Amino acid sequence: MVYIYAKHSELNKYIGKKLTVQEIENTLIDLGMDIKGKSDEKDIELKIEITAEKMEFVSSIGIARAIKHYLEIEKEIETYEIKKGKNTIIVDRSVQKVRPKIVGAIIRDFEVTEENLEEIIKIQEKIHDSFGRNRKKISIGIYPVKKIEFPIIYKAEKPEKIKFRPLESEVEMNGNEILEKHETGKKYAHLINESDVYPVLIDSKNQILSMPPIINSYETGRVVPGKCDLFIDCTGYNLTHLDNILKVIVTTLLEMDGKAESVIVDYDEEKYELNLDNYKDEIDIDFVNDWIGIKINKEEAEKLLKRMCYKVIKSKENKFEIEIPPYRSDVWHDVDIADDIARAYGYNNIIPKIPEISSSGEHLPKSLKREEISKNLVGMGFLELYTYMLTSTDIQYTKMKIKEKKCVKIIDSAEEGINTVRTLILPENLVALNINRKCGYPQKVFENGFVIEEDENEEHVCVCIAEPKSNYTKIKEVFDMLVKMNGWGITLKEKEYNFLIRGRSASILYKEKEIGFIGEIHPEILNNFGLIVPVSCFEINIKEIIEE
Amino acid sequence: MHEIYKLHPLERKMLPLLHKNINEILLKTKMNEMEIHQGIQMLAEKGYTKIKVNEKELILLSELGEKYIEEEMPEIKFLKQLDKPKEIKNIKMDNQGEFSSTLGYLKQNKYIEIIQGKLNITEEGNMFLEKNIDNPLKKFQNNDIEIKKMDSEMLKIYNQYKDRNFFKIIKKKEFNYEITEEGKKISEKLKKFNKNLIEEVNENVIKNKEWKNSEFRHYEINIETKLENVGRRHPTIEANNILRDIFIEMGFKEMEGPMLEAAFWNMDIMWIPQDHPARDEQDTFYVEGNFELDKSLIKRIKKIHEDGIKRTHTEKEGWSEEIASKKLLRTHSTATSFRKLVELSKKEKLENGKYFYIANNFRNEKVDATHLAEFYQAEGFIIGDNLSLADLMGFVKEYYAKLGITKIKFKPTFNPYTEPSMEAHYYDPKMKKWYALINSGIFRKETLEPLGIHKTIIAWGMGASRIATLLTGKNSMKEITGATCDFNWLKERENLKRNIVR
Repeated sequence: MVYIYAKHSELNKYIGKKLTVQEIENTLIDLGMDIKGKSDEKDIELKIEITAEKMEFVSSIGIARAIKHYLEIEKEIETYEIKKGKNTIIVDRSVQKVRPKIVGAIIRDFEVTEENLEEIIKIQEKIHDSFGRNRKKISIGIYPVKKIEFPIIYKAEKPEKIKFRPLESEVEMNGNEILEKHETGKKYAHLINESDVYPVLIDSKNQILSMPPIINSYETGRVVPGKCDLFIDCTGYNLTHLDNILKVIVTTLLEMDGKAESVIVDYDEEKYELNLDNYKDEIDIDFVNDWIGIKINKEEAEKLLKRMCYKVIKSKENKFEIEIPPYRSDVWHDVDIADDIARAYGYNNIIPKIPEISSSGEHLPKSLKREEISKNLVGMGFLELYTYMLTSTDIQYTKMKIKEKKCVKIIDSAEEGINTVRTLILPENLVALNINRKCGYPQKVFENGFVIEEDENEEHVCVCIAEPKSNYTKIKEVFDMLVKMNGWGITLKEKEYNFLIRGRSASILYKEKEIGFIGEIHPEILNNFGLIVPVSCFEINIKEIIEE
Repeated sequence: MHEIYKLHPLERKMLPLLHKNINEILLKTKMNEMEIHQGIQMLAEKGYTKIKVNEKELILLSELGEKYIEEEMPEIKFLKQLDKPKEIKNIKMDNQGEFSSTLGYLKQNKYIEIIQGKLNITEEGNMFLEKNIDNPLKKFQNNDIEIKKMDSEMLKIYNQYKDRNFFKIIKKKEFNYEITEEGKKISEKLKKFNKNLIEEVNENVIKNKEWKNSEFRHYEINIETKLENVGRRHPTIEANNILRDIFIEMGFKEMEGPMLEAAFWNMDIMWIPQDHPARDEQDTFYVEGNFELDKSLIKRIKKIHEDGIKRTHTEKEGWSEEIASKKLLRTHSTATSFRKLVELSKKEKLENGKYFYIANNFRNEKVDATHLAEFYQAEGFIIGDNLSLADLMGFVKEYYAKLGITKIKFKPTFNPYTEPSMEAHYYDPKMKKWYALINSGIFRKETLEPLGIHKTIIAWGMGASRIATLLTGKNSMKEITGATCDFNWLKERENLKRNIVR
């Protein structure tokens, strides 16, 4: 979940009109965002949830831009100009194995204020935490151009050779020291410390500008209030992602102030240069009407497109040639454009219609058979349980004195006490019997559920009788009746199990294959589960027998 | 007076005997103590007797105290050894534990003194020996001495010896009863009542037509009962069945799929990029091991992830088969929908149809009131020739109506595999809130083209566990699932109604 915090006054400032909080909220929802919280202050701060594909909403500027067009407060769709610059970033091969991609651009004549500097840092941090996946996918650096002598080299060096004074430090440190001692270094060390070389951005005067994705240099990486030129770099692994986010950052900054200038990024095989041209595409309004289930005409369509910041260049009958803003990296096909038109139309203005597909309903035969078994057991006075499949090997094997069999091994569970998926339902039912030991006896319970054996779903039925006089006869009565009701061709054979009393247990066989067990639970096992009444039980894998 | 007819045989027996105490009753009648208590209890419940339970604190001799009744008191034994002055270490006592308390007692009473490191018996000590008093503990041999009722002499002895563990105090409940005014009234009436009432219907009563000459004892028709043996379905399973029934009513066919999946089926095949946040361990239960994947399917999926279609933004640097083959517990049952689509796409002709699955899914999250690590989703999709967002809304509206929901709000959202994507919220007038229940959309071509599917498919997932919580009237999913469910609630809860709105 990505949350953007925006104050009411701030949004209105960028929208260019005084809207009420309710009006803003309604528009945000129509646009596909959600309000997850509101502060109590006089200037209400909204906690806005944005979706993963909308990078342009990473700041209140982007959000306000969408709102003002949506509500037709602003009817002129922005064009973002970028001048072709002559500065270059040379990408050295050494950086390929550790953090291969970089993009960059310059914003000229930007008046930095305390306020907008705070906003810029906020945006940078938000991108790092969300779309940047904690700096792994995207890491952004911002520098005053006047401190930099282009061309810049982006390469990777041995950490001992990287020496500079990082931001928030009094002293010079080398690459290793930064990762070991600097706050930010320690936090993000894992992104580069497996490599024997670390990325570094150096200018022509051999000044280190930064060690991406960790930290800028104090000398060259500090932006202070005043009119200046800003250099922005983004490093990561995927050029398309970086290009997308750079477009968002630059267009957002241009909304504040300044003029954009491209920087040539020279990879041997190709060159990258930021381009703020609109994407060009076509859309057929007939397609939109079919895909969404509405009936709009050309004029209406054009109006809706404009409200979503699309420019309509040409139209022939119901086919439009359109232009999409550069910050929209999520619009790939007609369906994406159709969705935007639907958002402008208003989802709740669409008239629902019942899909005209004629088909007859069908249960899976095994579902019906499973249901019958459950009903049979309820008819015998048994209470159905529903316990979890996620459990621990301690409950499934150690407490049961069963040798651990091949089972699902969970790698890293957030919830403590979970490290496997059950292969038997019985232990989980014993836990339930213990938790309910204060309820009156007899306790006759069953569960008709799933386990995972050999990586596959298996259907098991487990039945337990817990009461002072519980014994083998009682459970066999139930077992025999269940077999009769379901017409199963199964037999019993004496067999010893560690968790059942010797001489009072048997295996359940189907076509000579063991599919379950029946017997009285051994007191040692009862003790392990905190039970002090006898329990007799059976558990049977019904997968094959219901497939008949 | 009907009340006479309601008297249980035990009550009829006990009423005339209430002026006697239990011992007298035991002697005079053939009743045993349990019957007497039961009879009195029953009469008390009807208000005919009043029971008073007195708790008494009684003094008894402890084991140690009993021991010294037989033998000599330890202080006598001690003093007798002081015919000559002796060092402490030369005094012999049976019980070393008694040594210090006996020594303390003797010192306290000045029966001994220490001179030049040796113990000597004093004048008082000699006088004490000569007295040769009877063991004072013998006075406590009668078992019924109440602490409150000890006389001063006994109190003195008690205080002298209480610190030496010779006594123990027990609490005894005394059971006293007396007849009430109501009891007296009905007793009078009983004296004049000589009808014999039949207790139970049995073979003889029927065969001998005994009812012709007798009446039956009347019962208290409002007695409190508790039925222990109750067989019942689990409410979560019942709720899932309701959802299943609704799908069947709407013409859907049930499908199913494995819970242990390859990342390929859970994510790659539906256009979730390999660096999507949902693939982090934070949300997914990764499991040791890898699955073998279908070669031709991998080829097609790899191509779409790397090249996309037209302007799709893609991975470009390479889609990894190793990542796709990782084993995990499915996070959503959309994996099964895609398995079904692959199966259907292999047929000669892809038929239109409706499919659903009530599936158990797994998310690697910490469990709290609104999140479970395993939970049910009601998954489904409809294949059609020209389905639209309006059709999806129509389906949702119809399904929700069968759960008693009429006020719905649709909201745009985002899924990597559908476009448009839509949430449906419903309004609960009692809670005065909107709730989200369903995430849905139309599958985008990046998901369908590799499978050779050119029809429109609308699909959704509903929080079935959340719906189950609402249907049972509980507040959190945790209360209605797992081993912690209370058996009494499982037995006694109200039947589920097909109505989410409270």
